[in-house]
Amino acid sequence: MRKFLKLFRHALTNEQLAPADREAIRSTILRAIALHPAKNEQLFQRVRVRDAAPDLFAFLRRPSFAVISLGILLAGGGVSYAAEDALPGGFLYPIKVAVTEPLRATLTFSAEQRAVLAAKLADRRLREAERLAADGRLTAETSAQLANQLTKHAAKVQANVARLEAAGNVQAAANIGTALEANLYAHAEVMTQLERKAKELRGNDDEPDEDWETLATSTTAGVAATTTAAADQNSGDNDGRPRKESTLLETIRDRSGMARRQQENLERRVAERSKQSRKAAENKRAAAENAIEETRKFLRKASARYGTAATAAATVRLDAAMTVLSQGIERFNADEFAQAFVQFQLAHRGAQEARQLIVAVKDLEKRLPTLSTGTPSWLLAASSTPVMTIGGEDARDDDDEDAAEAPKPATTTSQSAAERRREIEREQNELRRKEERREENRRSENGAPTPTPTPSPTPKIEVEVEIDTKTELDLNF
Amino acid sequence: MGPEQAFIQAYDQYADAIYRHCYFRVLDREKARDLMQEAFTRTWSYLADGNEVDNLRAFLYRVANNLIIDQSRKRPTVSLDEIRERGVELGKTSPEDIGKRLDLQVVAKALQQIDPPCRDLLILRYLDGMPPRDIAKTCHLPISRVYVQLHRGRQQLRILLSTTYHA
Repeated sequence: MRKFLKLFRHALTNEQLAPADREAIRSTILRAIALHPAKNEQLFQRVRVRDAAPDLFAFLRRPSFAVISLGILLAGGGVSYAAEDALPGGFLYPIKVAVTEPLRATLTFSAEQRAVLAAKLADRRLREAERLAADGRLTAETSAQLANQLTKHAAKVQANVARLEAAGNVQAAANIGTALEANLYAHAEVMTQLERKAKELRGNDDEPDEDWETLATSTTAGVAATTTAAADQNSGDNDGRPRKESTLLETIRDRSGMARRQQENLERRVAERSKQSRKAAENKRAAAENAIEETRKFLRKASARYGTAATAAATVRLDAAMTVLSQGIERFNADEFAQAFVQFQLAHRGAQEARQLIVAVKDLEKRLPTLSTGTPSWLLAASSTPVMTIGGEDARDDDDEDAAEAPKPATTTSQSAAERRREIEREQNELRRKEERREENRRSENGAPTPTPTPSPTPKIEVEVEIDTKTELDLNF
Repeated sequence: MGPEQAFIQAYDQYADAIYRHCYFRVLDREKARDLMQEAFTRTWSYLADGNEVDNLRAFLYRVANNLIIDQSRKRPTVSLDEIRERGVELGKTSPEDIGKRLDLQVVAKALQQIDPPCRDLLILRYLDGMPPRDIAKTCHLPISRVYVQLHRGRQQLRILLSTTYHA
């Protein structure tokens, strides 16, 4: 080559790409790769990354920048792990919310994974709220923030579930929707109980307990703004003005209601799809039976630990699920596969709700003494979730008053001795509960504080809290 | 090794070269970076969608080349005089050696003054080391044209650089 060409060539290579830029672009490309996963793993068989020269200098070419950042990541690993348990107001909480959780989010690619993750995060926010409230550390601001986050996550779940449904993956959509709904429902009950407990301990003090008040009455304009458009459509007088303020509890209820509606739609769709599908009904039956069996084991352990009174509601729910299951089996044998399918789905959901109830009991058992002395009213409210008919009529229990009077789930004709025994036990429990409730009402009317081992001269609840953080929402099915 | 790892290896291997190519074509460092990034991401999309590529390196160049052409079509190309006045900016990683830096400037300036078609070919040939046959394939030109233009480019280069290098 002529000399000047050599120089020319040499000079050109003096133009370097800055290592920082190189790394930045590398990260961007990695992100793009993550967002757009390879369809076919085989494709790279044919692609040959031609080695112009053996890449001995790859290591040297990688700038120390990358090594350092890797070191920081490794060192920081301990921090992000410790942040998992952090509560709002805690030192590590910002890391949890701004680093750890978003990091997990970037690793989720499919709509299904995203929905599952969002549901877990929603559950987390609720548990944080409950922990704080039980500690007496819940402020209005925090409550508002948590409600915001909850809405965001719940909305994300529902959006992704809708996306799954649109994409045709109705099964997964239904499953995730079920789990979220069951979870929200359980949380709502827990919070109601916490609120009631607060009122009880407060007795007739004129001094409102700030912390509990905030749990019940935190105002979050942002939350209300993200409440469903459907709700706004119904309330036509909301144009222009700032939307109506909503509490954390109402948010949960709203979301739970929405989740339930979405759930019912999905179940109907799934049922339609599997109209004549015997196989689908069979699969669903297997799933329901598994769920019931698992929950039964769980329930047995919990009953042994906390007493049957505490887990009574879950027992009732689980029994109801079993009843529905046997109804489904009847339909199945009569070749009514679509009906059977719906029943199996309901039974499955019932088992999940029972499970959630048990989890809730575990959470609060240690600090709410009423659980050991008798069944508090919230468990009563949870105990009667009527069976949904295919026609779609859902007699929801809106009022606690109806709880004890709600019709018992229909029983099958073939009653084994065990079932009969359970029925009798159930009736006895209900009678007992009715009596206790009447007592409680009488007591609260008289203004006397409900006897608890924890006297509270101050409005703060002084019981110790340790929410079991390991019992996370289990969405693996 | 999965496709992702293979691809990111390709990045590690070819990023510099692709960037340099883009730079000498557009003479704007920021644009060059963007173009390089875009070339890689688009290549990945193509691969992830299930297409096969025989020669990844050539493919990357082709994508980059197309991007550059699109760019120059969208924006009115800067006039030669403007470039002459603007001069070639020093990047953050300009080589320390003053000699090298000057070389770079001289060469870059010289390149600017060469007509785009010839310039491109020169870059492809001497910077990227692409044999004329590949150039012909990449730029969709008959080989004869490639040879001719390379020759012309070399002539111009020699004249422009003769003062500096006494070639």
